[in-house]
Amino acid sequence: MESKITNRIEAYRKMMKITQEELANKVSVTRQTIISLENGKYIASLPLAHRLAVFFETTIEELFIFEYEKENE
Amino acid sequence: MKLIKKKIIYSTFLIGAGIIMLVAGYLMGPDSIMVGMGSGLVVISVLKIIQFIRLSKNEEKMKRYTLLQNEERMILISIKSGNMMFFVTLIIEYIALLVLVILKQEMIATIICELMALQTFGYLISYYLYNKKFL
Repeated sequence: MESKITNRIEAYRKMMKITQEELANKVSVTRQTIISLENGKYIASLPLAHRLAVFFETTIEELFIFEYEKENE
Repeated sequence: MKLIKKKIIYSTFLIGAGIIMLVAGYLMGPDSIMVGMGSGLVVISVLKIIQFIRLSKNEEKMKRYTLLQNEERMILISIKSGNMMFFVTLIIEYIALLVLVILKQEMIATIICELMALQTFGYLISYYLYNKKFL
């Protein structure tokens, strides 16, 4: 079963009116990581996903969208 | 701060290793390759220690350095590039081995062959250890 993970980080960040640099400082990563996450090129680890969810006052499931594709489909 | 202390201790060990190489080099003769390697190791380690001490005195730079050292994406990139470089090195060694065999340079070819075996063995050992660690 293949999975695809997208996220709503950019939408949440814009909703909170903060820059990528500010978000990076809040969750202890570099700005490049935030850019990479928003572009969908990098998948956050569970601790980072948790830190982001806590910062945006939401849940990991709400912030990250998990799509599963069954092999036979 | 813990990270900087660890790095300073590591660099101090490298200085020690460099001094041992220097002494061994002078015992083998001043033209020995060990002299160059040892002095290089000492100079680089001293410079690193100076860099770490300067870093520890600047809070902002220290914060940035710690972040870059511990950040998950940086760690992933480092692991992936190290992994890729390992296999690229093996391929290059294999090509060199073939060329050396064609040129009938059997002694160097044997050394490269042993080096490749050692690298592969090291990879298997570390794979086994990490497999046990994360079980």
